[in-house]
Amino acid sequence: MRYLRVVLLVFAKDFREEIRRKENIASSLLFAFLSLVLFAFALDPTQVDLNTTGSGLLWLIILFAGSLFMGASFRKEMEGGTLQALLLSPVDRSAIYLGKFLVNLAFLLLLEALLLVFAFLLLDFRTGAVLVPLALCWLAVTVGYAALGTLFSALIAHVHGGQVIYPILLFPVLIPLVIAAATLTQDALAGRPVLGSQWLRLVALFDTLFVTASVFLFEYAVEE
Amino acid sequence: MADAAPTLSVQDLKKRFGYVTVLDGVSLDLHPGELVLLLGPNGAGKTTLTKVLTTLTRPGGGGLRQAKDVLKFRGAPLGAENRSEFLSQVGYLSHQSFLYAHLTPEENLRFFGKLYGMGDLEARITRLLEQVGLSSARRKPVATFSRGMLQRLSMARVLLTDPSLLILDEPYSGLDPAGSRTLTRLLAGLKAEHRALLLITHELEDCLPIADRVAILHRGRIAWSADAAGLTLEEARARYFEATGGEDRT
Repeated sequence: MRYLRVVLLVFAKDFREEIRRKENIASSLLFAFLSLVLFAFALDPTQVDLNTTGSGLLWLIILFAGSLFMGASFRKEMEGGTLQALLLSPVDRSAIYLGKFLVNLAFLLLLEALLLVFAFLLLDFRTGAVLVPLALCWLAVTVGYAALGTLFSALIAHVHGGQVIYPILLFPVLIPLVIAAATLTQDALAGRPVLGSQWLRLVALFDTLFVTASVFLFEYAVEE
Repeated sequence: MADAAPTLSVQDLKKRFGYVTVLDGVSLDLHPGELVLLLGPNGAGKTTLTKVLTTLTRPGGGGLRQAKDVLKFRGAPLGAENRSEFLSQVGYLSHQSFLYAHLTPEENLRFFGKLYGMGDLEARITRLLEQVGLSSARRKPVATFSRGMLQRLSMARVLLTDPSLLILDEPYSGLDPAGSRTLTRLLAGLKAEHRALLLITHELEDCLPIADRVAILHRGRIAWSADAAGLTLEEARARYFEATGGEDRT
């Protein structure tokens, strides 16, 4: 019970701080929106069917915009030394990780929801009847992305210039997840069954692996 | 005082970063109700020592040494079994504020209080903010605070969890003369409440009268240590210059 309280406490603190701080949320959402606008101008809708090729583009945007937000997850805790204050508290350190993970997950889901709305408005990207299976696939992929993104944010928190290293370290590890995400999105949009598909099982396996490993490795990731 | 089991005991502590030896065999005991004044020039290893003492940094440099090999908390080796109990009893004031700039003082204190599972939190927060003179600023964002206000709020954060061991790194930094006097009175009060205090400072005038022991850290070693009773300011300064070769002014 105490463990869960600490998770929710860290989540609530981070959520409130991000809303007041604004810079991380604003820069990430603005980047996603601008990327979408650029794609809208760059791609000719009469030549390219975005409902079949757009999945990869959308995931690229989620990947870059999400990394902008998650990369700051622990870096911001270095500003007033609050990461040390968190580590000095008599709580299970994995609860701190899970609180941060939930904030990142919530932000990524918000980003994805907004992205779908803007993609519909700007690129005529229609999800229509496949919205539910598509949302389930994206949720599954996002869990793994947020798990690794949070862990890597902790890893680079002490590193000078860590914000540059963050995507370089993170993206190669995410390649299988992104391939699965793009394929699942494409299948869902084409109306093919995705629930129970091999790709979704692969994503579930990655999620389990990433979340479990991150919970155990976090203690070592944050040590000076 | 020396007969009681030390709240924290460190024996032959070594710490190396790469090829640089920062701490080279430091031994120190902190007893309940004792205030130890630790002096030393810049780069002597004072901050690293506080980080090892608070378990933020592992001791190292002598092979596979763990915290339990060099640190004892209330007579027991400090390990995974008693680490949580130890952390709940440590109050650490660092160079950094350990505060969230976008939250208000009461939100900061409420967060840390809940993290430590403190009861009766609201009354405690009100009392502490009054004690450090920040009651009127309790709902202002910490980002708008001056250095002195930050330092006072940091002190409130340290005291919030009612620690029996306080490790204070430059607590006088940023305080005006009135704030310094208030802090000295506060530290004397904490000592009277049988808490163990390790105080790292250059403010000898303020701290020497309330100190029980004075130690000088130089190049990673305790170069000199003595009881503070009867030690005058001039003698303490002279010892400091002897021990450090006049590397830094105190």
